[in-house]
Amino acid sequence: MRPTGPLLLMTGLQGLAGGVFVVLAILGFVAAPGFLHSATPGFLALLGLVLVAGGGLASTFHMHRRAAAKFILRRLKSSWLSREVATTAPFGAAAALSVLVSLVHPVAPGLERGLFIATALLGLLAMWVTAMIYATIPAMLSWRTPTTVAAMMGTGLVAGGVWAWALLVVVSRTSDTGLAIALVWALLALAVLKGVQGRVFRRARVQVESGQQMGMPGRRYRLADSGTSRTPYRTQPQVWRPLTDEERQRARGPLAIAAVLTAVLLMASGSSPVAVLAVVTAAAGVYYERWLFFADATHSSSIWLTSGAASPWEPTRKSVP
Amino acid sequence: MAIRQETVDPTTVPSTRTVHTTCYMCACRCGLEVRVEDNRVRFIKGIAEHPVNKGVWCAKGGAGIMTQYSPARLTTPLMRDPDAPRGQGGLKPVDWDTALATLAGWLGNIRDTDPRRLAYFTGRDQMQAFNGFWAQQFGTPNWAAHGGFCSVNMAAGGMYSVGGSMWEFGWPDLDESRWFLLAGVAEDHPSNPLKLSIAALKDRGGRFVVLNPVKSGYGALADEWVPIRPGTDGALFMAFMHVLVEEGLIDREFLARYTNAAHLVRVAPGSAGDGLFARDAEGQPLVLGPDGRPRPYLEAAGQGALEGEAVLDGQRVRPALALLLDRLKSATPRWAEALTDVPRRTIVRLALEMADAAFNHPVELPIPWTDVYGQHYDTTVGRPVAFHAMRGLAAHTNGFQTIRGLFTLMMLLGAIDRPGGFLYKSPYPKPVPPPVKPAHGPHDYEPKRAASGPILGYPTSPDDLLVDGDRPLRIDESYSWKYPLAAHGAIQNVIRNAHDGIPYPIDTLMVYMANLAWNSTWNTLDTRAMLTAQDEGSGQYRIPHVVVFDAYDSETVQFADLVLPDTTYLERWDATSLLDRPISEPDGPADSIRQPVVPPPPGVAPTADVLIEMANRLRLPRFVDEDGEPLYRNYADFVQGWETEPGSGVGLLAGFRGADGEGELVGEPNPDQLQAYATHRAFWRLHLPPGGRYFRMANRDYLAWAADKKFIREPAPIVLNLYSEPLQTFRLAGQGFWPGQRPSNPHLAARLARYMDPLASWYPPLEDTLPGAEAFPLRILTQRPMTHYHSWGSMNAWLRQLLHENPVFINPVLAQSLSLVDGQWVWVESRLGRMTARVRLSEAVEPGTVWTWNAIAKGPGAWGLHPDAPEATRAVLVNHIIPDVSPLEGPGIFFNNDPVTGQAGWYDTRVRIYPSDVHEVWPKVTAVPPRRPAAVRQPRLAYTTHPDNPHATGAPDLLHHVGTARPTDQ
Amino acid sequence: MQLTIITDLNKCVGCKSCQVSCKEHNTGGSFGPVPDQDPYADPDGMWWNRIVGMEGGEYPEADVLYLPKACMHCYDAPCVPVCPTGASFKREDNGVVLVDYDSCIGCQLCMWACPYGVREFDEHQGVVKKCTLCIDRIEDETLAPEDRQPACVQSCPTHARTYGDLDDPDSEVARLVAEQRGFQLLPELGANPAVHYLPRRPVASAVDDSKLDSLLTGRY
Ligand SMILES: Nc1nc2c(c(=O)[nH]1)N[C@H]1C(S)=C(S)[C@@H](COP(=O)(O)OP(=O)(O)OC[C@H]3O[C@@H](n4cnc5c(=O)[nH]c(N)nc54)[C@H](O)[C@@H]3O)O[C@H]1N2
Ligand SMILES: Nc1nc2c(c(=O)[nH]1)N[C@H]1C(S)=C(S)[C@@H](COP(=O)(O)OP(=O)(O)OC[C@H]3O[C@@H](n4cnc5c(=O)[nH]c(N)nc54)[C@H](O)[C@@H]3O)O[C@H]1N2
Ligand code: SF4
Ligand code: SF4
Ligand code: SF4
Ligand code: SF4
Ligand code: SF4
Ligand SMILES: [Mo]
Repeated sequence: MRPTGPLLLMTGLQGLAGGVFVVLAILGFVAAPGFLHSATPGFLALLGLVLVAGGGLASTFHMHRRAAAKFILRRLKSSWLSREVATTAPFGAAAALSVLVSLVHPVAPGLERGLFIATALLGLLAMWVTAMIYATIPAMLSWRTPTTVAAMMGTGLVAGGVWAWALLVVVSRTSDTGLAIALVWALLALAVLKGVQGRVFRRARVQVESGQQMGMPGRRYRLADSGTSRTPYRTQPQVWRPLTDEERQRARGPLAIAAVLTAVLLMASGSSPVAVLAVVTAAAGVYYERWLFFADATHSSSIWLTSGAASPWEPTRKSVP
Repeated sequence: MAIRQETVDPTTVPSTRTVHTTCYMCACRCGLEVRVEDNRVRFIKGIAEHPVNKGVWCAKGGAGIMTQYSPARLTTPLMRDPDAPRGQGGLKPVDWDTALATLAGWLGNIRDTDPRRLAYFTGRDQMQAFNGFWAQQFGTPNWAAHGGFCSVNMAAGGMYSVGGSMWEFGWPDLDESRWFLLAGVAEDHPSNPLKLSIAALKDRGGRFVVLNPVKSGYGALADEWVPIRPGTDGALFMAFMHVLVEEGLIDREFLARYTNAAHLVRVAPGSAGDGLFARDAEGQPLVLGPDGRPRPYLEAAGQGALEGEAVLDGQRVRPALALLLDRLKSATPRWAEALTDVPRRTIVRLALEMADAAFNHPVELPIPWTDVYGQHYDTTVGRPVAFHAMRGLAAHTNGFQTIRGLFTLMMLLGAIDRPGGFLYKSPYPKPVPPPVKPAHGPHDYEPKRAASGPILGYPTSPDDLLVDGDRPLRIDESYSWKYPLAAHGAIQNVIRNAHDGIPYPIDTLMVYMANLAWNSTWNTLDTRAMLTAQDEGSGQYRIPHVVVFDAYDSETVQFADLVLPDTTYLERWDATSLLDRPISEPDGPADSIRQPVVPPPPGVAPTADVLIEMANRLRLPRFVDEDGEPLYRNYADFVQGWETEPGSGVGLLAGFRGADGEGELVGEPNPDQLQAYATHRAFWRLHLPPGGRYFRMANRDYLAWAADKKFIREPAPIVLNLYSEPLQTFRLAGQGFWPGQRPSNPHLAARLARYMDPLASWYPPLEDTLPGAEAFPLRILTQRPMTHYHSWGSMNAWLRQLLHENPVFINPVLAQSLSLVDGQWVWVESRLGRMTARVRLSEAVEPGTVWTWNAIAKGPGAWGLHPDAPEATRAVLVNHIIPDVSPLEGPGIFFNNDPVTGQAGWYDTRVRIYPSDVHEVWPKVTAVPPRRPAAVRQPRLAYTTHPDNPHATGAPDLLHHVGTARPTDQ
Repeated sequence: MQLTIITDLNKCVGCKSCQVSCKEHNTGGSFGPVPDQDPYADPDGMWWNRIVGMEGGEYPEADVLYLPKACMHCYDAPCVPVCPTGASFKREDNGVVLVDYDSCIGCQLCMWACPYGVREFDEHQGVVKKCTLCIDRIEDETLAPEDRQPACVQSCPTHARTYGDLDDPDSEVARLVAEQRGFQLLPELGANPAVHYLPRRPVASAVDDSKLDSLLTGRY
């Protein structure tokens, strides 16, 4: 699948926003009682709002005919994309309301806390729906697994959490160690999840590359020369040229570094520079995670579409007859 | 003024219309119905009733839209700036007056002094009848079309065997056949007709065997693929015949009645009569009657003995078949297996399969007919085994004899012009060989005169050759001792000979529809250098003038001094003629026309019109009347008005003849003939009556009708040549016994004696016999892809997407033995030189063969393409390493040609392959700036015929000039 | 009713006539244009029907196969439910799957959902395009009867393609699928494509092996 900017941004930002609001909702319960009266929740909500709005904005760039945007909710019954709009929009609205009540027009803390929880729940719902878009496509052999949902939501939550943590550090100049420790554990869990996902991706790739009969029953076939060695079909973004092992490593490396670095930063004593660095590493992590998620995904149709020098063929024959 | 052609006045035609015409995207010439909307081509489809394509159309045909609007189109005459060196651009637009005056000046000069100094060569030309006539009237012997580098081995092999051949001259009857062998045909020859036929065979459950070192295209559908070592099919056919003879599975009755198998051959080695037929006082060949006494063949009415021997006038004589059987004795399957790599078991099985179909499952059609002996038959019985072959057999230097072998095999099976076998296409069969000879006398080509006879034809003895002693009379050395039966000329020899001044220098090389500086040349870099070579002393070009008639910006255009831009096939009047390569079907003659579908852009003119204008200016004899007044204003006029001989009633088009348009085949010229075709879906066809459709070489009613219609001169039976007496005359000349012309050089004589074999034979391709051949153990072949027609597919925006790069395909076994992996860059080296390529592994190729697509590579900047286009940077041209000459002993240069017909031996090239550090295409030629820089940068093309569609971009308005008057119109 | 096209792989030579005739008809048809990118440089473009060439087996038993691949007009078309705008829809009357460009937002989700890679994205117009089963030909009553069939079926030089209603057991397509063991591509992905292919049906040699054995030992 060809990775495109708007999709990376849209899913990434939405996840970050979700993470921020989940942290906010949790803090509403566990933080010191003064927390809700301080300006901090307002900043967090504002951060979440900016993120979700950014995601929404990015999504419009993925939409190539905005004139038809008005029809987007027509298929709520079946389309996860309709549902994504139908859930991300309320999430955004709730985020906006959160900013309103905590920054501009304070209300009773109970109500505020409830609103944060509702927003976080809406955020989780939106994230889940978004992930379901990907996880429910049988043709996207790499994605059609619950791992997709877990990894996608997990990435958003962890990275959003890191951003929230960083904001707290910047605002309050001290680190919330509990939060930091929780996030490190979450990162660890996420790493395991990504490992599992890597295997799913590999299986999908092998399934296609080893020639699953080219989609035909019976005999095994392989793609014959297609008349070009350039990856064909700029018009079919669901397939992309297969990544080389090198490219895959080149994306995985930064991803791992970002994760480790983020963990290290979380454990370091909270200071503004550390927090800013953590924001950057988390963002980089999200970017690489998402890029790999799209770029390395194998679509069933790639068995017919990618050939040429990009995928040399190894004959099965081992000896000269 | 200049060319007085009539074109459609765009204002008088509806902007939306349906026009019938004939395709030219390849040589099949399918019938097309073209839908034009808003004066743009909206849709091209096949004509359902058309004899050639029966309603279907191929990828090339449909993509004709993008050929029409290709930025490669030439739209104005061009002349080389005298200060600019030839071959490096420097072509400047000129007006038609200047262009025509220049050409007339050059041609006038030549004709007044020595017409041989004009060499006019045409490539995939579909108006050969006209071009040949024009050259004849001009008076030069130096004209020919593409046959020499194409398939003259197939054409001549057939004509000297059965008076017909494959493709345009004959056809496998897959509507009735049970068993079909396709030998050496890639994917698209001939395109729609063969596809329709194979589909018919498949529908009926017939068995399809493909003989080819490569499996692709048609091969994919084969029930059995028989990979063979290239250049050895002749041996395989001999082995098939060996088995058939051993098993007694030959059609003796057919051989005795319809072939010269029973003709008595004199066995008198060392004498002038050796190998010639014994004849009676009237010159009738003799056979041995049932009573053991010699009788004239026709009188014996098929009773002639096929074996044994006798003594006649004190000389030993033997039936021709007996000589063949002697030869076949040693052609065992074991012998053939070693040569061909086809397992013995397969050879025997295939021979039995064909015999099974032929003899155990004869087709019987309820069609009564009568043969020339007066015998009446209530039904027509056929042998349902069919064969089709082409360049895989023809494009080797043993191709002529291989084709002879194939036809001999078909004769043994009795499968000529019978249901389920090989069927002639009208006007064939012709006598074997057809009774047309090239004008060959020393005074046949003189200044200010027409040549005194046709330029091409079929020699039947050494006395018909165009030689003066050992010296050839033609620039391409056709009909010389080197290439005696070069019935299609030898276009591939022209540039080198003209450059060397052998046998004499020329003044002007005129090229029409051939890309001689690129894909139809061999030793490409040297050939290009010859085109620009100058005399050291005078600084004159060795070839003083190069004139190119082309519609597109080919690599050859760059080498021209004068370029005359042609119309496209959708813009001109044209005829596909029975006098040319017919589009007939086995059940009767057919021909067709082209008509302007869309108006041409200003600045182009049909080449035929230009040639007629030249003829009129030079007052060529049969183009002007006694007062020198033009007889034809343009080609449309010529098509309707011209006759083979004044008053013959035979012209280019056979339909709608006579003043009333009712005449068929023979009749007075009809001034409204083209219009009549236009209103009849652009074609004409005639169905032969069923009783005249088979056994036409000996079908009494058919022969009488054919003579009446002037297909043949007299209604005499056509005897198939199992044994070729004409070839024997050449062999005698080589042996020094022929009483007439003989070569004096011993190498030439030995060559004749060796290769002019009257019986089918096999010998190794000449390249294999050269010293050092083993150093190049592999053979490299090309195949035509189904989507591209030679070099002219790559300028087509749609077709080029389907194929723009060509790896060299090699078997994984070979790859393994050479330690090569898929996608690797390699050197491919022949004895001539080397080139780079990328290898692609494929199980569908014989391990001793490597292959790639033909003519995909392009010179950078040519064909309206970006100089970095993949065709220029990632595609490879095998022609670079195909040797043009053979280091054989003898006078002058021997081209890498078949020693009988002069056919270019493309597929004999031997190579070796090894890894390359150069990871790009090499050799390279210098890039030229594209003629239309804006077009090559166009990011999006979204063609529609509705320009108001907001999403249509890059619509090719480049050439959309409706309503613009043409400057060349009067 | 479920309209479909059946391709007989026993007759398809991979000539790409159907690929080009599709483009030819549709680029100027109701659902066009079918655009190309960099047409005279390093080209690429949109095709609603693409022929895939493949190889199987080992020399000399190598198998070469060509597979024309266009929209399969699936019974359970996965491209339809995922489409948020309803632009992708399946006609109830004849089963043809179409895209309504006016409602399409160009999100390309349907392209991911389609297992067969037959949908193509037109960046310029911002919509997804694909084979329409030539709906503008088959429903155009002003056309001659022989033109009221898909362009790719009409052009095919081997008549490998047959068009008709798969739900009608008496139709040619249903008969072919039943009699020649027609199959679908990637059935495991659950789209239940209407487009079927007919397998290769090689014709065996008429010469029996025992006869050959004796000849080979005896005579050759
Ligand atoms: N699409 C398309 N169609 C064309 C043309 C085109 O350019 N494009 N060109 C037209 C012209 S001019 C011609 S001459 C014809 C030619 O049409 P074909 O005769 O099909 O010619 P090639 O494409 O050269 O293919 C030659 C075939 O012979 C095989 N071959 C080579 N050597 C041997 C051998 O020794 N034995 C056997 N058994 N096979 C061998 C090769 O593998 C290849 O498959 O096609 C015509 N049709
Ligand atoms: N390696 C290798 N080389 C080969 C072959 C091979 O098998 N292998 N095959 C050989 C064979 S069989 C052949 S026939 C030759 C073919 O070779 P050529 O006869 O050179 O054929 P094309 O490359 O098609 O070039 C024909 C020229 O005609 C021009 N043309 C097209 N349409 C028109 C028109 O309407 N009017 C005019 N005036 N010009 C037009 C084109 O622009 C092009 O420049 O190639 C030979 N070369
Ligand atoms: S086979 Fe040749 S003549 Fe016929 S439609 Fe195709 S390109 Fe045209
Ligand atoms: S047109 Fe027919 S033969 Fe050609 S590729 Fe398409 S289905 Fe196959
Ligand atoms: S691209 Fe268009 S048709 Fe496809 S899912 Fe999106 S809106 Fe629907
Ligand atoms: S083939 Fe693809 S586009 Fe066509 S109906 Fe099936 S899923 Fe949809
Ligand atoms: S049915 Fe029409 S749109 Fe579909 S592939 Fe065939 S020609 Fe193209
Ligand atoms: Mo040719």
